[in-house]
Amino acid sequence: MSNTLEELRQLACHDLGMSADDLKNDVTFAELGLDSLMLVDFMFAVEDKFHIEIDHDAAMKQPTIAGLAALVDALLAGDGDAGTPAASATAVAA
Amino acid sequence: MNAEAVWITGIGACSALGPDAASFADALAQGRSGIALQPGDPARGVAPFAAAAVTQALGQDMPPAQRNLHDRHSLMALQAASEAWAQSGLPATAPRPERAAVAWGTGLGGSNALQQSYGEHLTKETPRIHPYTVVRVMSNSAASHLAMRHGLRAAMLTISNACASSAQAIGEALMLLRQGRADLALVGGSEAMLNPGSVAAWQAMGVMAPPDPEEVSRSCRPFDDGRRGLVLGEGAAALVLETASHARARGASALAVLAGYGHSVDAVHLSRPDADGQERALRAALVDAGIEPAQVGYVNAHGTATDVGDAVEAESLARVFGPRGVPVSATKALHGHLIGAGGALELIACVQALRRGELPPSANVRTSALEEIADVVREPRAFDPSKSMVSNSFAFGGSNVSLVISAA
Repeated sequence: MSNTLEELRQLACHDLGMSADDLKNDVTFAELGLDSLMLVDFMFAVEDKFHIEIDHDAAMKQPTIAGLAALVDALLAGDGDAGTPAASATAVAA
Repeated sequence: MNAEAVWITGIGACSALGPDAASFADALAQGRSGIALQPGDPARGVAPFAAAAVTQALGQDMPPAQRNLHDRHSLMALQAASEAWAQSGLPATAPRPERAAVAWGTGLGGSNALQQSYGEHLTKETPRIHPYTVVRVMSNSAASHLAMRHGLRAAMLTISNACASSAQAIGEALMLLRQGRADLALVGGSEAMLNPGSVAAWQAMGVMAPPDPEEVSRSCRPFDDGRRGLVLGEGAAALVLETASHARARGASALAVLAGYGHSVDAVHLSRPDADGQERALRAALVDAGIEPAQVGYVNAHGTATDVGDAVEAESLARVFGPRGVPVSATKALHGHLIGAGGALELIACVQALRRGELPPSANVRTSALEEIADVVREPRAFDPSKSMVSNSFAFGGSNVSLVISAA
């Protein structure tokens, strides 16, 4: 498991009050019980933790913890194809 | 209308004086102040200021994503309401939700969330605004959370009438219960505005007392000759109201009877108090309670410690009760001015004083010319339980509310 995925899992468990057992990496956020507002709230927490800007539409292409971890890794690597111009512009320094 | 009595069967308080109604009453009796120096934000022109801040952690029983749904005042509301609800002995959710109401007061609503969201959106290089901004900021957010938590589906009233908000919410809930539209109501108010933007706005009005250079905790001096203005506080206060028949049917006992509600509007000035309007609210409350002025044994004054405000209130009290006709104190000296939540918190001060048989003193009075017409309670004083109590809340915008309670 990548560090990013593990960090995201820890963040999700803490923020969402979920148990690690319930948090399946490849289950969609909707199936995990997150509505759209809760998901955006979680994205804000992810942005703050990794100092990045996530395009939420891009995040919805793979709406799972594993998919989000891949997107975060790409943004941290400065991959311009990872999201929209807003997302690709930065992995913002702390 | 031959309406039945309405009982207060639960109380809860979250304030700078403590996490519950008991610690709140203890502090009032002991003259312990919750006012302390706050750092402000000098870089943005907000000088250090005196205020009564809640220091305990809030919402610790919920994960961050759930807590994020709340503005600070809403978290305080949940805490105070949980205490009141538990004391009433009701099950976790109302037994008959369609017969249970919520009536809540707040002046600014989600002031902290508003500042945080707008500040981030308007100042960051890449704007972003939190998706919960609207539901945190809206003035009915606390009432909405309370309705969901306790299953309150008969009615939701949110009153935003500045400093009279929660007192008026309580009064309107009394009307609702008397009309038979519900059997019980969770009522009160919450306010949290000790953020730099709100404080700067209050400082700009010139009504805030400067921190006392010798003892900050004594910065608020209602009825004292040296009073220099109000000191902001934050917190929440909640009460459970029930028709007497509903409470009796489930074996609940009354902490006090909510006996009367008077409301008036000055319609003369946005911020200057008006003795005529206050007198009308006071008299209306006494008529509503069916009592004469001589039957009132204590008034918890609005008493903000502004020069004009205290003088006008002393005058209106003298008109209704006669010069020095009723003992009066202003507990804001210790818990600060909770604006929209103040009326509810001060009604709880009355309920506690009624139950304990002792009036809370008006702290920080050294000399007072107003004592010519006002019997200011300077030390704890025994209360005659055969008499009633009045709590006053007078608001910017010219809204006046007086509430009457009596022993069951």
